[in-house]
Amino acid sequence: MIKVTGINKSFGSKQVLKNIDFSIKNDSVVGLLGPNGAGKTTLMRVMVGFLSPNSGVIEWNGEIAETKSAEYRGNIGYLPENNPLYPTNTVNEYLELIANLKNLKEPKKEVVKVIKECGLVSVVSQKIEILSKGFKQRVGLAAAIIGNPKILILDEPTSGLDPNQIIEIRKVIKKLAKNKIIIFSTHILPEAKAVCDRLLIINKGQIVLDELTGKVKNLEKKFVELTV
Amino acid sequence: MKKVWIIALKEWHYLFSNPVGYIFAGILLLVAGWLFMGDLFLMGQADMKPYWNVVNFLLSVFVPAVVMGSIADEKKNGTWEVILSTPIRELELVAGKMLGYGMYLGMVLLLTLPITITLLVLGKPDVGPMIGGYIGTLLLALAYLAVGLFFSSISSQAIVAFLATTITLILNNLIGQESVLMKLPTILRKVVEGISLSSRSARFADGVIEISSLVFFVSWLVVFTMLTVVSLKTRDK
Repeated sequence: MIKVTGINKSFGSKQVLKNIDFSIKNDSVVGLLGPNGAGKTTLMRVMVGFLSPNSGVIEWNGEIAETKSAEYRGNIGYLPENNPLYPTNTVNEYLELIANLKNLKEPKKEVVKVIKECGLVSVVSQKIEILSKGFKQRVGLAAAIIGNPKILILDEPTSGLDPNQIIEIRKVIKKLAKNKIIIFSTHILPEAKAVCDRLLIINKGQIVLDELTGKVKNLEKKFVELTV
Repeated sequence: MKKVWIIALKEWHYLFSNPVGYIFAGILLLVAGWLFMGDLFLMGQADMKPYWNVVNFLLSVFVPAVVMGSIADEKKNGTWEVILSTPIRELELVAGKMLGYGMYLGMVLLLTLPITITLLVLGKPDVGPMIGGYIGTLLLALAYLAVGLFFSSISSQAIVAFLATTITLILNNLIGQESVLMKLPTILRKVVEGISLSSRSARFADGVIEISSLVFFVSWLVVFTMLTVVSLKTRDK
């Protein structure tokens, strides 16, 4: 279980996250929804240890996590917004780089495993720069899941994909959901409802709704109100 | 240490997977070789010091050009988010980049060996200053690299990093020139000479390997490496 308590984050005088509290049990896919600029990416960056919060703590399995420690970051798989990759690497080179940085005991074996899981076998020797957007997204996803991390944080993983590619990525995410916490950000409500079993809606840096997907009614209406 | 090596190989691969590495190495060697060889037969002396003077000046433009995007581009493209969300420390990342680019610069220096061999064949140069020249130039290139990495870490625009590094290095180079030093009072001259990388490097090319200069170069590397690490650690401030 991961528990986020009292997280505040400011950049200069602008407060981006305001007293964020929530907890997520294992085997959950949680959708983090909100309009652009709501604070989704900043919250994710704090959770992966890329940014430090001004105040607040993150607990992992009952203990306060030092989010910048190698131990904590070893539990995290992260796909940042816009899926940054090294274009001159081949798929295999890139995944081996990430596997080696994650300190895995058998990096090559792990790379083979994620290549199969993410359907990258046909493009494994190709340079990333020549791949389609859908395949690039799969490479980013494969890099995030290398080493079977306990927490998977995906920042708008379907952004910019065509409808078929979105369905494929959703399938991969659902397949990965066993024994993991997946936090999935999007600003598309139907997508969150299709993939997630719980929704967290963030607006202007605050959590304004935290509910199981099935229990929420008239969500479209609420979401539109929030977005407006 | 393993991660330092992984990052070093990543940088090495980057430099040779696109034209950057080849173009800059080619330009440096051609320009330096052309300027040096033009005067060599006029002087009639098998001495590499003029060659190192040219190389050292060219490095103050060449190193910033090669290293300008090393961190700035990672910030701009967002790949540093991927790298820094893995269990790697900022120090390992910076040390890995230093090692990767350092290996590249070392390789470029090795490509100057044909000049050395030509001089050895044509005349009877003193080998000590030749070896000193290589050591001094490598240390100078690493010191320039450390400055370049620092400026690359504080900007997400590679061109800003390039300009800031080049101006810093050219100024450092100029203050070490005899024409500038001569105009300074004796006390100030000692201080300025002491912090000038090129004048310290030039002493190596004279065949003088001073412990104080070695300590100075190592200190310079440590200081700029730590500044780069601090800059990465304070990324969210």
